[in-house]
Parts: sequence; C-alpha cells; structure tokens
Amino acid sequence: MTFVQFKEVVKKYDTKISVNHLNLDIAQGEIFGLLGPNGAGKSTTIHLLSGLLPMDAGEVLLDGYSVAKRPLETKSRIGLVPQELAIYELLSARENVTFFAKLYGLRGNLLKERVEEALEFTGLRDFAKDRPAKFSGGMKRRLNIACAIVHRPKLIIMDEPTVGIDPQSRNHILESVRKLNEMGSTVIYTSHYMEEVEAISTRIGIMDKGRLVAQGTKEELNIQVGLEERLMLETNRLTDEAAAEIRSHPRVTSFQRREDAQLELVLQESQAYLQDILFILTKHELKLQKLTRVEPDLESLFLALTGRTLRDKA
Amino acid sequence: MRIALEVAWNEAVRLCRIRTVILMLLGLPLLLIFLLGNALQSDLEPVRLSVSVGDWGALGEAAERYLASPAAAGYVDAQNRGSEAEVREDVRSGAADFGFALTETGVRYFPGSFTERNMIAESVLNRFTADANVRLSSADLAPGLSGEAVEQSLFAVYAKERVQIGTLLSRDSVGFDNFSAVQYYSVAYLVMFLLYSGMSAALSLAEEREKGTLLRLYSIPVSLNVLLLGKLMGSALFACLQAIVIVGFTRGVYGVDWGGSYGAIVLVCALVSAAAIGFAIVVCSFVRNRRAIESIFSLVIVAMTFLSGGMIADIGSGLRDIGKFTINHWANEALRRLMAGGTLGEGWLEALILVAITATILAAAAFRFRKAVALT
Repeated sequence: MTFVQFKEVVKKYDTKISVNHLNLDIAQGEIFGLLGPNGAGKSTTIHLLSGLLPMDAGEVLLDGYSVAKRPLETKSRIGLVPQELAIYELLSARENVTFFAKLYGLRGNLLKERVEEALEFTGLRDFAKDRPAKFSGGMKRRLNIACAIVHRPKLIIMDEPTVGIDPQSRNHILESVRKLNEMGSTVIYTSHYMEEVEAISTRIGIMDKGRLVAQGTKEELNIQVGLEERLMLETNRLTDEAAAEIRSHPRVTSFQRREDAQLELVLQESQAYLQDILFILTKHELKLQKLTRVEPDLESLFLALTGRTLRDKA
Repeated sequence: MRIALEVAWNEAVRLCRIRTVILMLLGLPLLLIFLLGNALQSDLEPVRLSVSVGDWGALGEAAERYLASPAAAGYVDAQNRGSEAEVREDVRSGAADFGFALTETGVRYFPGSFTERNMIAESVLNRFTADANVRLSSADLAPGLSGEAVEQSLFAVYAKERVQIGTLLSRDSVGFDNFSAVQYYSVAYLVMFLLYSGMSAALSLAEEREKGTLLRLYSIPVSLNVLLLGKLMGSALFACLQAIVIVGFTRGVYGVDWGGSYGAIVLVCALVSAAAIGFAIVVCSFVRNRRAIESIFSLVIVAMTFLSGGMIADIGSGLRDIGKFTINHWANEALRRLMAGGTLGEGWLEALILVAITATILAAAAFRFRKAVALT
C-alpha cells in the first residue's frame, strides 16, 4: 500500500530548480534509501514531505493526506531526524525528549512511559540526567533520534543521521533503524554514504540534480542500468594465447588485463559459464591462484547513471 | 495555549541556565545602580567652615545663630575661631574647607582647594549676608521697625519661595520629593535591562535557527504562531523575573522607595518588555547573525539610555529633546512619577506616549513576523 506519494513535485529557489518534477511512491513498512551527492535535492525533498517548505508545483500525500492542505495530520505522523543536531544543549537528555513529547501532545503516564522507552531504545537511559555537552557525537545523534521517535510516528525521516560519528555509533544507529522498521514504522533514510543505504534499505532511490534518476531494489537497479558482476582472476602466469581465447568467449562482455597475470572480466551468466574460463586456463597449463567476484556497487551504479561519482557535487 | 506555555517554560528555563545571562541581566544592573548611585549621590558631606565673628555684636550673634540653624547646619560644620588669622591658617593647612570672617571692612571669605565645597559654603553664607543686608537696610530706612517685624517679613518671603518650587515640579502636590542618585539610576537601569530581554529573545530565535531546533519545532504538528508566542512569552517571563529582582533588591538592600504603586510599575515594565520583544522580531526579520543582533541591540539600547539621561543625569537640553523620542524617556518619567507618590493617571501623557511607542513597535513586528521566523 502506498504510504508516501510525490506527484510531479517541483521546488525552486530563485532560478535554480532544487526538485524537478519528482514522482515517487513509497510503500508502508519500507526502508527507502534516498541516495545522491551533496546538492542533489535529497534534503529539499524530505523538507517538502515534512511540511517545512512549500512546493512550487505538484502534490505530496502522506497516508492519504495532502501535506500542503492538512499539515497537522501529516506532521503528527512524522518523526523527523534532521541532519543538524536539533537538541537543546542546556536541557538534559530526559528534558529534551520530554519537551518534544509534550509538543506532540503526550501527557501524564503515557508521556513518562514513552520518554523512557525512547531513551531505552537509543541506549541513553543511563545518561538521562546528563546534558548533551557531556555526550560524544554518537550519543548526541542518538538523542536526536530519541526526540523524533518518542511519539511512535508512522513515518521516520532520517536526514544523513550518521554524519561525523564513529563506526560503532553508526552501526548502533543502523541497527536502530532496522528495529524501528520491524516495529512498524516506514523509514526514509537519506545519505551520500552508499554502504549505509545498501546495508539497510529495502528500496533505493537515486537523486541527481533534483531528479530521481532511478529507483528500485539494488538488483532491479543493476538490471536497469545494465551493471553486472565482475570477476577478478589471478593466475601464476598468463599467456597471450590464453588471454585472447578468454577474450573471445561469447559470454565475456568486458575484458581487462591488469599487470602480468591478472584479469578483470564481466561474464554473463557467470555461474553457468565460469567453468569454460577455467577450462581455458587448464588447457594452457595455467593455474588459477585467486578468484574474486565483485558485485556492482551503488557508486558504480551512480557513475553509470550520471557520469559522476557520489562524492562529486551535483 | 498549553503548548505555548510549555514552550515559554522551556525558554525561561534555558535562559536561566545560561550563567552569562544571569550575570548580565540580573547582576549587572544591580551593580551599576550601586556604583553610579553611590558615586554620583547628591547627599554631600557638610563643608568644614572656620568662622571668626569677633566682637560684632548683634551681627556676630546673628551669624552664629544662622550657622547653627537647620538651614545651614546640614551643609556646613562651623568651627569658631578667635581671629581672622586663625581662620586663614585653618584653610591654608586644610583643617577647614572654607573660611568666613566678619571684619571691620565687612565680610571676608577664604576659599579652600575644592571648588564644589567653596560653592556650597558661599551659597550658604550668601544667604546670611543677603539677610544681613536686608536687616541693615531696614534699620537705616525704618529705625523704628522692630527686629521681630523684620524676621516675620523675611520668613514670609522664604515661605512663598518654597511653595513656588513645589508647584513647578509636582503638579498638585504641596511638597516635592527629591530623588537620590540610587533612585534615579534604579529606574534608568530597570528600563535599560528590560530592553535587553528583547535581545535575549532575538538571540534565542537566531540560535534555534542555527542549531536546527527551529526546524524540528516546525516539523511538529503545532501552529507556528503558537510556537513563536511561546518563545516570546518565555522571554517575557524572564523579563518579569528581572523586574522583580531589580525592584525587590533595590528596595530591600539599597533602600529605594518605589512609591508603592506596584501594579502600575508592573504595567510600565510590561509595556517596555513588549516593546523590547517587538523590536527583537523586527531585528530578526532583517538580521540572522547573532553577533549582528548583539551589536544592533547594544548600540540602540545604550544610545537610548544615554539620550534619556540614564547615564549622565544632565546631558543638556538639546540631547534631552532627542531623548524624548526614546521609550526609555517616557518609561523613566512614568516610573519616577510613581516613585514620587503620583499615579499613572496624573501622568496620563507619559503613559499614553509609552503605549503609543509600544503599539507602533508591535505593529512593525506583526508586519515583519513571517520574515523573522522563516527557516532560512
């Protein structure tokens, strides 16, 4: 069931188009990863969904409600984890979460229960009385999340939630995202770190220059773009005749010879035809020393789609 | 409304946890009032007066009586000497601030080193010599006139003068209460620091925008107006605390008499705070940078305080006239009227102008509101 729908959404800043005729459907219960370089329009897209920015054209629907026309209904369903640390340094962790919970309308015992739940979930219960000034970067990010999930929103939007933190905290946050999803929330996760998006997303959307250039599961995206698995072969030595024979195999679509005895191939239906390659090596009395399969990553996918890397600016 | 109160409370709590805010907005005004109030106090130490009246009979006795009278004793501390030479020596050696001698040729003054004390002594003594001239003239012109008749006539003249002074400065009141320097500056700095509470509001908004909490607040299903109302109420709450501390502390510790009309004082303070918060919104609509906000507020508030006589009481009539365009001037006047035992009704013009200035600023704030609270 479609939970979030963008229909021909346009957002401009002066003459620059930040979101350019975006059409996107996100199903309930998904973790949708929105990938793209800096300036691609990811943050603008989620700000439009959160009702923080007015759109210049199009419509955004959340759970059937129009974001523009029914902002209170849509905002009550959203928990936003902004890219900046949106926490009060002068309030303790518990005071921060409690304040935002009250703004979401929680009261009495339910308020206390949900605050403790949010602190427990983000591993901050033991630090509830401390102020963020004493926290590490990772702990501050977790508090940022706690403030967004205290009211158990149906949709959690996380805008680059792991920027500038250590790997341990990053893993904790990614694990938290999975748990939130298992508990029933739909998650939209934006990042320019492809490893994170690959690790947790059920579906991925790739944005570039305000446009959604591709969307789907990782496998679907690979097929869309025509990217295939590469094989890296290392032998004891490689003769020209052996290399020529491998190159001429009908299922080899890409061939690159590296150094003396290394080959990089793209072999269609590799599971079926790998044995042909190995037979060629044996025929020329060559020993296979190492075989590595390299799946296409999002970086190469993005490069194939846009001609640029994820780390380039839009 | 509940949400607005939650936001207001959150705002006030955060402000109270910033040490520099507590020092600047609560501690500093009390310190300034104390320092300026005592440094510029109008109560003067009596001038040490060395006096020689010799054997001048009735005139000498009159001089001694006069110097011992309440009119003079508050300003001079007279010490009798046997001769003019001793008086001169007292002044030269610094044992006395001023010397006075009745001689064959008339009255002689011996000024000391301090101009201020010389002026006081001369003022006091000139009154005696003027009196003496009147008596001597009446003795020459009307030798039959008794000394008692002369005294009564002089008293009538002095009494009339006192009534005239009272009427000029306080409309219907018979007497006039002079303000001490501490009272004067208590009013000036109460108003000044209430205006600074507006700066706190502006800085808070800028900080929320910078830190990202404003973005989170906007993503919550609460009306923007309610959120902002709450923030401004928080600053107003802090301004209330400020006013209570300043009025309470100066009354309890410095002995400042605020007049007793605390309801009216609250009203004046509320108008000043409202104007300050309105100004904060206007500034925030043009300026996003915290340093720029601080600079603008400091410049405007210090200038207004100076022009309203809040730093130097007598700044000249030209600057005073310019000062009438400041909210400080009208708030100061209203509060001093209340301090003197008057009512806002008596000073309706001051109150009206104060309301008009506040209303104008708030109207400008309403016009610029959306720009002030925009996310970017």
